[in-house]
Amino acid sequence: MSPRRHLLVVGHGMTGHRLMEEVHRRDRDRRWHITAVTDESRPAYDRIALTSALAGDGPARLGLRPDPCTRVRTGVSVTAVDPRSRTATLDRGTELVWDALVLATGSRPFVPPVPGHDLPGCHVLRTYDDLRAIRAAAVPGRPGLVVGGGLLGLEAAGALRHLGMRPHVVETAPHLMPMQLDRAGGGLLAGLVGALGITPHCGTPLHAVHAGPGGRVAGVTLAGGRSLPAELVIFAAGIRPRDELAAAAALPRGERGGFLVDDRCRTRAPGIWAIGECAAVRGRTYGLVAPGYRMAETVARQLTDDAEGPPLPPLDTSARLKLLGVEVASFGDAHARTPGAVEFAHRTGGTYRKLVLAGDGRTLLGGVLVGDASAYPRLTPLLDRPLPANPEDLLAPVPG
Amino acid sequence: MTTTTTTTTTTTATSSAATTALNTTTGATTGATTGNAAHNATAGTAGTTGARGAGDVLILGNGPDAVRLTRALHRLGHPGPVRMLPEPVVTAIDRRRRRVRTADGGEHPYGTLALALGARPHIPDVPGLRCPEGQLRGGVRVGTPLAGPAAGRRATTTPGPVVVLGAGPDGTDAALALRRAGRQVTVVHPGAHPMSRRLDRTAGELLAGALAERGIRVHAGATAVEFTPGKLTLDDGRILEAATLLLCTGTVPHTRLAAEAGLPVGHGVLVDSRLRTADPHISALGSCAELTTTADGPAAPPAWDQAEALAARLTGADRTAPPPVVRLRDPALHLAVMGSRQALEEAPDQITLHDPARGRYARLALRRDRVAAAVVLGLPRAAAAVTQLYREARPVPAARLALLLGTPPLRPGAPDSPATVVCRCNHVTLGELREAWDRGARDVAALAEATRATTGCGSCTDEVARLCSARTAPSGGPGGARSAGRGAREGRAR
Ligand SMILES: Cc1cc2nc3c(=O)[nH]c(=O)nc-3n(C[C@H](O)[C@H](O)[C@H](O)COP(=O)(O)OP(=O)(O)OC[C@H]3O[C@@H](n4cnc5c(N)ncnc54)[C@H](O)[C@@H]3O)c2cc1C
Ligand SMILES: Cc1cc2nc3c(=O)[nH]c(=O)nc-3n(C[C@H](O)[C@H](O)[C@H](O)COP(=O)(O)OP(=O)(O)OC[C@H]3O[C@@H](n4cnc5c(N)ncnc54)[C@H](O)[C@@H]3O)c2cc1C
Repeated sequence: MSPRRHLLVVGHGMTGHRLMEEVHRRDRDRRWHITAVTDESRPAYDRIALTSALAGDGPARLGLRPDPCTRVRTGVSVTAVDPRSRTATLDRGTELVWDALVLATGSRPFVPPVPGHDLPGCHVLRTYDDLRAIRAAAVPGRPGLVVGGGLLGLEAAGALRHLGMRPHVVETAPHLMPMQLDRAGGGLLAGLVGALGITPHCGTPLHAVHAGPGGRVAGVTLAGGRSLPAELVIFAAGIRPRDELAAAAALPRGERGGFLVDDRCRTRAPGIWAIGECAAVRGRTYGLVAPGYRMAETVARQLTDDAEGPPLPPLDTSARLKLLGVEVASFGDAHARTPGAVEFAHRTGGTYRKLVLAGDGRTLLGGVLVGDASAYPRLTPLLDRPLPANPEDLLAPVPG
Repeated sequence: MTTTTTTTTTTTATSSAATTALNTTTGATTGATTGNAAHNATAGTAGTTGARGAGDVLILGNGPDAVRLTRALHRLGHPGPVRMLPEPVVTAIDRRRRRVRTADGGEHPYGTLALALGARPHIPDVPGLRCPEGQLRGGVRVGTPLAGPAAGRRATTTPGPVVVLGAGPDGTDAALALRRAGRQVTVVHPGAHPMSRRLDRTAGELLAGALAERGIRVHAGATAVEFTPGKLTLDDGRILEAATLLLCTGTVPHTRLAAEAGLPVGHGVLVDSRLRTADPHISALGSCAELTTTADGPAAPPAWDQAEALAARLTGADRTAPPPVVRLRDPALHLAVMGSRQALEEAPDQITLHDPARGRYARLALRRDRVAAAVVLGLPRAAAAVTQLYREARPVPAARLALLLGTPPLRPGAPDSPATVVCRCNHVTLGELREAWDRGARDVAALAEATRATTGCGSCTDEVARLCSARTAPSGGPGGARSAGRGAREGRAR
């Protein structure tokens, strides 16, 4: 029997956790000894559930299944990796030797460098500690502000509303959720969240954050000169892959950041993979959990089968806003970027439903649902296949 | 009665019929100082029974609209007399006494007055279009159908580049016809895109693209500031070569007589869908009329529909005029527009099909499942079907994509394949869920434990729950007939 080999996972987030689970499950002979290192104060948890935990009963149920037989070192960060000596340096100065290295460092929130962005009262929402800080800072009845009208920004605004604050959302693009929605869908969404007491301000980037007499955040100004009161600010202006380890290790990066990997998540250096939000698969990064899980599964297969294995399946970028009460979903080629794609949409006073179809008018490529997303689970399984029924039957609201 | 004899204008060919009708009617009016009329004035109070019954129809105007109405009334066997008076000889409408006065002092009583006063081309106020004497300068032509087909022909026979001013339906049609004839054509239009009063942005941009593809240059958002022979200057400073300048800048309905008689007038004489003005004895049709229901300027071309509808109503049927549908005449560019831009924007239910790669677009603005307004571009079969639904005010069928694509609707309810992915986050298929069920995972929590389904973003939880109930239920459900059967057996076995 071959000697046990050491797998080091940098980052114990959602995809790092999934990778270890998968390797453990497939590695019947226990050939791999696994260590994970995370700079967070706790092992992997359900990051997706942070917004609902923020809004609801706190962080009790955030944990993921603990990994048996794997070691997780919390509160430690990896500061350098050396592909030639196969070592990793920890911030405490110690070194770890590995046979295989998987980078699963996720991403960090992007905070636009506007004046006042680091005042007390300014937050990001990425980790459990962020969640605790926001819960402690929320003041019922007072105005709060979220910078960024994307998926995360709207969920954060919904959470602030649940905490009793009066949230405003500032978005640079002309409509909300510009990554996922088209103009018609974004316009309708603005009306729906507005009715919930969340006030969107679209087409105006944030210009500056201002302090009050106590030195804490008191308000902001927008690029148009308009000012809004805000006693708590959450930046949800997008994410950037955590790829700092690339430079010293001479690993190539994607054009928009991220460890550049091929369609099997391999970096240029033998024995080093990258998965999750920090991976730029053929140059493209993914900000959702499903593609990260596919990456983890692909790499686990390579590690346990000692074979190249199949490449990644097509990655799914379906997204669904969980914000209570307002249903928004977008899946597949929501912007109809596929050459020859056809858009078929139905808009009413309170709903917008769009299907993107291939030029044959039958094959489902993607869609956008606003106001009523009950058809989402019925539609996503049909992606890239001919519609089995008339689109209006498939789009019809699902009762209950 | 002499006047009644003049109405036997059994019309044959359109233009000659107009002349015949004109001649016989004016011939008769000279001698028609009527004792009857004087009698009416004393005996009849307006709006009630007089010697002139509602069936006694007097038509003001002698253009195509008037001729169409006359012919339609004859064809439908209208029992009463029908007379035509050309607009220029008329000096006033006396609504109270229900008679029309002419320049020669004549008075013409009516039971029903039909205004078919027509319209004239609108000549914009651009320096250089007219000679000092007032007529249009050489090289400047009117391109609206009002000017007659000859004007269009003249524009196509003069050599050199043509600039079409105004890209409404007429200007767009004229530009396409000229281009088909091989001419170099530029369109100048003040709106953001061609037919901007009728089309939304998406349709307008597709139309602009279709024109460009045919080699027609489109200057949208531009107005003409000066014409000098051979050249047109635009407000943005550009100078276009224009051997011919074709004016397609709209029409001005002849409304003076109606306005002086105190009838409500907008751009045209305002009428309802039954072509009635505010006065129950007076109707208006064709290019002088403006349907209040479309709220979008003068009623558009299919004036014979209006003649037909008005004739039917005057002969006793209760008919509304089918609302106008604007179409381009180009054989290869299929565009149909129904209803006003306002109705298009405001209807509560909006269906769109957008196929930019093939230049196809349809937008149906529905109100209670009926077409309130629509734009259909590049989809000839849909255009025909939607036009019919619109004109007959029938509900739109449920399979709307099929309607717009012109394909047969699909039968609903195809079975789900085991390969369909139910949980996207964890990539769990329907087949895997069924297997887990068969191995004993009988609720959402157990299925989650066995397959990880629902443990990502959680949005498939409802779907998994439905799967459970379908497998427990005796038959049917989203699991499909085959799987439900198996589920039922297992249900009994437990
Ligand atoms: C509030 C919120 C809601 C979300 N909702 C959804 C949703 O509904 N659906 C969806 O698909 N996605 C959602 N996401 C995104 C989803 O959480 C991420 O896509 C997923 O967590 C990515 O997993 P990851 O392993 O790549 O990164 P992460 O989960 O971020 O894990 C990376 C870990 O690595 C650690 N790390 C980084 N660098 C180092 C280092 N040098 N040394 C040691 N440790 C390091 C980080 O601290 C972190 O703990 C949401 C995210 C947030 C914040
Ligand atoms: C179909 C699809 C495609 C995706 N493609 C990508 C991709 O290409 N790259 C990527 O990184 N992630 C991508 N993602 C992931 C996802 O969009 C988010 O990055 C992730 O979910 C985090 O959410 P967010 O709301 O922070 O980010 P975002 O969705 O990026 O939303 C941030 C918003 O903040 C706004 N904003 C930024 N600066 C300011 C400012 N100064 N003032 C006001 N508003 C501001 C932005 O316009 C943006 O709308 C994609 C997701 C889906 C579903």
